[in-house]
Amino acid sequence: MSDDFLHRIRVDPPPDFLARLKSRLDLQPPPAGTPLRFSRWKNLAFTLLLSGSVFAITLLILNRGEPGNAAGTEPKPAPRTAPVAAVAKPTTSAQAPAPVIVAPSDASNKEAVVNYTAVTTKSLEPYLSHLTDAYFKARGRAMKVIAGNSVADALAELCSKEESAQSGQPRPTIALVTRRMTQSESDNCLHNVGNINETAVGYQAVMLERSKLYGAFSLTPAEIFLALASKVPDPSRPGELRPNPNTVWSDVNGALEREPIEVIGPGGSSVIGLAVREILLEAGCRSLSLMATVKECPEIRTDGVYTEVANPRDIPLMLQTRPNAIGILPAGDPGSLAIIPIGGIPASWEAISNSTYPGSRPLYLYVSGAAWTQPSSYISSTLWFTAFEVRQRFAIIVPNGNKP
Amino acid sequence: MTPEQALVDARSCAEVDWDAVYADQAPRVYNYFRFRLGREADVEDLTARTFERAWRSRATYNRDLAGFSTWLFKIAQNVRIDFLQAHRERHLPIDEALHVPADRSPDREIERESDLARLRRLTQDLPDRERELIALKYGAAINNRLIAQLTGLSESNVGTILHRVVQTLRSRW
Repeated sequence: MSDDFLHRIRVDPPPDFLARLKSRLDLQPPPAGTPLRFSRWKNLAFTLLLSGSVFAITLLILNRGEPGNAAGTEPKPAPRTAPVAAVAKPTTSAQAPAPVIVAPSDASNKEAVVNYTAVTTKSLEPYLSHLTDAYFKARGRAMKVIAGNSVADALAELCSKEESAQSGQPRPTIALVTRRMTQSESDNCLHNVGNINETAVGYQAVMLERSKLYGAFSLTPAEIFLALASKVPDPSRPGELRPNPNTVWSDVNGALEREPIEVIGPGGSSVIGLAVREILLEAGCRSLSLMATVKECPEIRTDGVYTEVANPRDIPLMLQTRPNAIGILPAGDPGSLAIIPIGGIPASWEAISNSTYPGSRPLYLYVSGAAWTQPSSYISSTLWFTAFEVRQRFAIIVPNGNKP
Repeated sequence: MTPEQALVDARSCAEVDWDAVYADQAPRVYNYFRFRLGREADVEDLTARTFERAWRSRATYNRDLAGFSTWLFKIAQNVRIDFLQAHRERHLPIDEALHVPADRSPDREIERESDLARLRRLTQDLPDRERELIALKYGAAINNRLIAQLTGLSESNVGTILHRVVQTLRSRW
């Protein structure tokens, strides 16, 4: 036995097999040119860093020696801030919320003063709390964050006529939500509160990635839902759900490959996990006619198909070692991975900013009170200042041009 | 000029002679799966899957990152792993697989299959890494440098391990 002997064990493949396979390969379209890259992310990131630093320094100078809420030291409103409710009912500085004493939270055991109350949705609550910790507290202020069950609830709270009797909190003066106010909501605010300033602060966006070894294939939100939901519609019993039986992509859609469904993504209760659920899964769920009569879309499956990762930064490395798997990550530079288009649209800054990318949603900040713009400036500047961190932790992107 | 070299020299994917690449690589991939799995139906299926994936992703193949053979065999390795995971419950143990006869039965091929069956019986106690090296070296007929890229071992380590494995097999033959 020798090298030659081992080499002689090789055989030529059957000619008819080679011919059949070749004819199948010939049916595939010729390779296109180099795929578009996500090159603008690097430029955007650099711009954000530079602009954020400049703005933070400017804000620091402007606020130096600020005694508190003195009207003369209020920063100017953000240029992109647009009044939603018309200034039919001008507000005065007296409409700024009165300080509310809350339980002590700092090491000095002094009572913290809640200068502002903000309302948002449950999925954005950790993010808004993070802004509070990162900026407001550091500047000797505090912001109470409350969460509504939905955007409609949060905006209703912002535009409510009376103070909430249940919680005993003053009416919120800030709302961070994932869609724009409707006309009726705006009218309601105008009637109950007066001026409301609207600022488009950024986007929350996720993307799907995979090792370049296998290349990318496009998935629709409906296909993502059918692959990842714990329960899916039972075709034999309309209106009822059954445990998700899909284990390969071709189970979801016969046109997809017969490859095992293997997805790595954020934890279901994390900010990004909730965003994945709200942006992708619920959109996919509601796009299916068989789900029309189902009240609540199912949770992400827990049978091993979906692997939860505590830190999204670990996902790219995991994808390199598990090239068959698909990763769900905050939108950004794909690095050495391939972007999987959603609904045929790859994640890109252009697609996110023109609202054509199904994996993203806008973020709007609403602040009540015509003369009370400081929180808006604070949040906008914090968005700038923490742009890199918030993208990784919360999948939130601050667009160029959001400079307050 | 080999098809691989022609592929490296081509300025764009459109200039590559994919027919030549296929003719050169298909027997290598086929024999790689044959050494690793044995059953002809699976071998053909996995060879086809490998090429279909590779052909579908030709545009994303980056020549700066890896040679085409490295890329293609990485796909083949992943196809094999996926296949074993997806078919674990109905995959025949290797001992049983050895007794599954080939469809084609010319005398020489039977003899080769017998040699292959005997080789696999002798290698089944070896670690998976050593069996992978045997399949890549003698099935796919690729050089140690490429095997090193595929396995993460150093080129000299590949040569050393292969030499030791062949010595072991020779003593057992």
